[in-house]
Amino acid sequence: MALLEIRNLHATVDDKPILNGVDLTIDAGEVHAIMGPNGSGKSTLSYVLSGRDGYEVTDGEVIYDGKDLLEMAADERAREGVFLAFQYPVEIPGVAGLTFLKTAANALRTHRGEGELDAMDFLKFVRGKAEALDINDEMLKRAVNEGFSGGEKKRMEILQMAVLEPKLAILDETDSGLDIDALKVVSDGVNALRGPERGMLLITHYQRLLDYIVPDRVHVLAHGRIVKSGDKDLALELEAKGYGEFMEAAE
Amino acid sequence: MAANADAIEQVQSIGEQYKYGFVTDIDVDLAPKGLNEDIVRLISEKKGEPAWMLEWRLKAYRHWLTMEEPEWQKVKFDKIDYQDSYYYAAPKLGDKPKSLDEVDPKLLETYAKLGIPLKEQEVLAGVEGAPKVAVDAVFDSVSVATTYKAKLEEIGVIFCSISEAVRDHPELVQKYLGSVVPYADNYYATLNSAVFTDGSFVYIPKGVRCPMELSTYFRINQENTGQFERTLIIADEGAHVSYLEGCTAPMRDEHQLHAAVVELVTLDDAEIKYSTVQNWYPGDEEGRGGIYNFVTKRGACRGRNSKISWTQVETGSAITWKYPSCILQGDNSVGEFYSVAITNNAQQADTGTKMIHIGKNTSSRIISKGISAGKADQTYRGLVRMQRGANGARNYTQCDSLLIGDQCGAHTVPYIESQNPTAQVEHEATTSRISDDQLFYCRQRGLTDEEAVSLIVNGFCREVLQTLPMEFAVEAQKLVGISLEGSVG
Amino acid sequence: MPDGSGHMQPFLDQALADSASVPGAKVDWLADLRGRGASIYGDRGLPGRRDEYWRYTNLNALGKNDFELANGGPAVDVPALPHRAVAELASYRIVFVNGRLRPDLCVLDDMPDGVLIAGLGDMIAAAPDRLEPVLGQGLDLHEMPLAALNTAFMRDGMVLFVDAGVDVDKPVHLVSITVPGETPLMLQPRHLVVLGDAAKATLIESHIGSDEGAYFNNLVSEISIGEGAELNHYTFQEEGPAAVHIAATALNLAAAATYDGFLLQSGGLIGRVETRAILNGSDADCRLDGIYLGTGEQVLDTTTYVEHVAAGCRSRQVYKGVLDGKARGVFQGKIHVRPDAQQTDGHQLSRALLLSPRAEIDTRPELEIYADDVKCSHGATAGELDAEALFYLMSRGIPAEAARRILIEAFVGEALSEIRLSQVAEDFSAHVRNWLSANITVNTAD
Repeated sequence: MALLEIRNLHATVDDKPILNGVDLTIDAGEVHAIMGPNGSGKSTLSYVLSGRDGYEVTDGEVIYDGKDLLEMAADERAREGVFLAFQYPVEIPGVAGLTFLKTAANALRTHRGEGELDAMDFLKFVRGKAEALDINDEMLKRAVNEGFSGGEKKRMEILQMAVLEPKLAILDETDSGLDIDALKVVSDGVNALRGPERGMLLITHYQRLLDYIVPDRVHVLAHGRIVKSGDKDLALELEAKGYGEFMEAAE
Repeated sequence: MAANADAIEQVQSIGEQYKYGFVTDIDVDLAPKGLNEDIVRLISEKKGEPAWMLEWRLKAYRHWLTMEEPEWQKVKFDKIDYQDSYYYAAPKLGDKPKSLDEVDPKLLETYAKLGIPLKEQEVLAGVEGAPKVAVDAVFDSVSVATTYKAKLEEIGVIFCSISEAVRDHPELVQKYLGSVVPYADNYYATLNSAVFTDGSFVYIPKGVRCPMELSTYFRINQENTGQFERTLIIADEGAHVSYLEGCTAPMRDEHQLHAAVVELVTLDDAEIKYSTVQNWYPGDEEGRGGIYNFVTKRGACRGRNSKISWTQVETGSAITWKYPSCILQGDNSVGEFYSVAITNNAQQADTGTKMIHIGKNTSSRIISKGISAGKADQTYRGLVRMQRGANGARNYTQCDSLLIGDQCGAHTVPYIESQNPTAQVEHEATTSRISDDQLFYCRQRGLTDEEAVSLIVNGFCREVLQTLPMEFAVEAQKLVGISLEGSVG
Repeated sequence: MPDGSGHMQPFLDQALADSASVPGAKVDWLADLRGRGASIYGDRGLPGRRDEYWRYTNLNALGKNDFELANGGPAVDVPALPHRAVAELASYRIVFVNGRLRPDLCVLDDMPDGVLIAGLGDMIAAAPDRLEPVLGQGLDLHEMPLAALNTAFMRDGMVLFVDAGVDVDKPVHLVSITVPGETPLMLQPRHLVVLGDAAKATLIESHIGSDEGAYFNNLVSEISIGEGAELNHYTFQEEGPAAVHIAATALNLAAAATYDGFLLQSGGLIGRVETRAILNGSDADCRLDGIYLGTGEQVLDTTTYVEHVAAGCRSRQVYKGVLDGKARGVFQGKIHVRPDAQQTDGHQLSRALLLSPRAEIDTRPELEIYADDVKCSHGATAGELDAEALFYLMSRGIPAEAARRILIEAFVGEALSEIRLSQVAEDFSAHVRNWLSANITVNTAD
């Protein structure tokens, strides 16, 4: 059974059609990349999958882990294992990062019927994962994303993913705003989380990210539809030729 | 905007269903309804007060008759019928209890229902090895239990009911009562001066650092009984004390007036920290039956290098009207005001502070966080005054309002008066709402709307909540909807 | 219209005595409007401490003086305009002396089509119908008792009408000169500015007075800005030292309208400029900036009220004050956001410098907000010059006096930097410099 099956997905934002029939299947253990020019609907797809308000599904369906994903509220999807690494992580003043992580992790553990971790155990658990991402205690104590650099924000997103251990991770433009060193740290973090139980969907504009996180499948999104799919070489082809040809094909 | 509608609902439920809505059934000794000189005399007589106290009360009462109820505050309510209230009610306990065993078990039950933290229940029950929190429980109008008194007495700390203080320490009471809030100060304080029936008295002698937090729980119990506590705290030279006050009240149909007066005095190098968690019954969703909380709280930093710090978490009452203030007379004295006020449904709050800088190099800090939801209306009203002689004085004020939903209001009305060029005043105010982005981000991490809102609101209030003593943290967390804050600090 | 105590409110008798003979006395709507002003003022009287927005500015002295209603008079010597750059600027100039239009001093030639600049008195006589839809429409007299008094009296002032789509080619310069004689004078000028949709204009106001003699200048301006229209408005309040200058401006902005106002107050014994801006249409943009420079026993009061009625509007206010001697500055500013005014962006900043131990600043910034999706803030500071900055300059060899001036100029300069019309900015700066050299002397030894 596929982990995620998107069938003929149509969605609008403010009554404007953005997704016009997306079909996509991701099996557990696979990493897929969706590439496309600005305005092709990449971020909309990530928001529709994660259940953000204001994105209306007008047709089609999404089956996740055997369940109707679109029926679930945003937080329910998260607790069922859908994780979105945001392109622009949100600042929450006054809420310490560690508090935020612990609240989220315990919401998840409660949902799975596991006991909540106490403060000390949780701190140990997080520290182990944070180290690999160059995140120290001081960063964890600061308010969520407040005053963070672009790279720090993205590292915190990956830390949250590592802590929450999702079944399906959607990474929206995770490479944007990162220099090469930061990109490497983040990519190592993501690669460490690849596993047979987990599916990933990388959303990116550039091929660069795919040098570090090598996908099993690459799809081109244009005008709200997947116009071409292939293996990792498709990304290189795109890099060489640009999106023009595919855009035309979509029209 | 679905998330927003959810958010409104969530914040409305932050206060939870009011869980302290019950009435204890105890025999009550009631004076007749209404207010006149005879009632004032009766109160004084029941308390066995000396003549000077009665004279002071009568002076206040006669002055009150000449006053008009203020209307300038931005709150609306039906006129109070002062003749339709009882001004004296005492639980019938016969003689003073020798120990807690002799206290009506229903009282102890009441404390349990009030959710007085377990630690403090132990203290109240006199359990050996209980933590050092002294509780002066005010049950309706008369103090019924004072614990740790002996221990405090050893170091010279006086912590008793104001009635006992009038009897046992008349020289201190005569010297300080009304010295910060004069009997003619304002309508409600004057009424209080005439009819106050109880409250706490604290005196910390020179150089003594009070070894425990002093705590009191107020609770209105008798139907139609307004409460008129009078609290007086004096920290003598070099003394330190932290005082905690928390309130809950039972559910009822008629509005109830709570017009307390709190006076604080610090002498040279002394410090008083006064913390309040106010959780009076706010009324139903239309505001019916809630408490009117019209309180006068004021501290005078009389001595050099003295400090008074007010922290308040205001979540209850149908109407809150209070301005805990500091008169900074002593050179280098410090005043602080930290406030979280949450209003929802039909609640109204008009609250803030006054910082009057008189002495040199005095400094004050005001941090106010207002959260308004439902149809609630909230006003921060504050005065910072730098008087002519306040050389080198400093004030910093930060007022932040958070609006949840489009039916509520948030207002900021600061008055800033400076007559001294060397005084520096800085005021900032912002108004914002919980953004859809923040809510979605939290929900994407698996938090329900309710959890997300309480987390975000908690973050918004963090700066104030951090100033609360540990003893109050639990209650404040519950009230503001804190989930995990503080456990990882 | 006696007040509760049976006495006539100050000044009202003159207005009532005049009511049958003033221009336009027979125009019904105008007589009604004047009557309404008289009645509202008659009920309220001079504002005093009981009025929340007058608690810091006391007008008691006014009521005790016998003011004579100013009636022009071409015989007076007109002082030269102190604003050199503005004076040389090509502009349409309309001049009032002692409250009356002085056609001989006006420069109103070659007005383009769609632009009308005229005296209110002339308009009342010649074309009252053009005034009826606008005069008295834009302001709430109950909120402004002195504007009600002005309404009872109004007989002259400036009318500026700009038709839709017209961009007035030169700035309009309104000059008000007051030269009282033996008896103190009272002036009640009424100005009316109406910009049609997408019209554009720049208005400069100069209020000057002679160095001697007391007068009470109680002016009211009604300004209405049509959809997408734009008004830049610069005001010099440099009344004579014994003057009481009370100005009330009612500002109404339609959708996408822009108002950019800058006020310099340094004249008068009492100066109060109150602006009530109502943002009625969405996406309107309102800027109210200013500086005030007070010395001696001056009271300089800037009061603003910005009401966001429609959604998506922006308002900005930056006021800076410098106070010396026993001068008192007052800043009261309120941002009021109505329930439908979502996406409001309203900010306000008030900063005051106290240069003397007897100076005082009273500030009351206020927010009243009934919409949740808004960004509103205010900030206020008061204090003296930064001692460290002063020391830093002096340590580089700059004498104390010069260092103080540099810092004060920098302090107010920040507010001046955004003025679009360079001649105006130049005159504002020159005024600040002159004021500083006249008033800032140094008590510290070099």
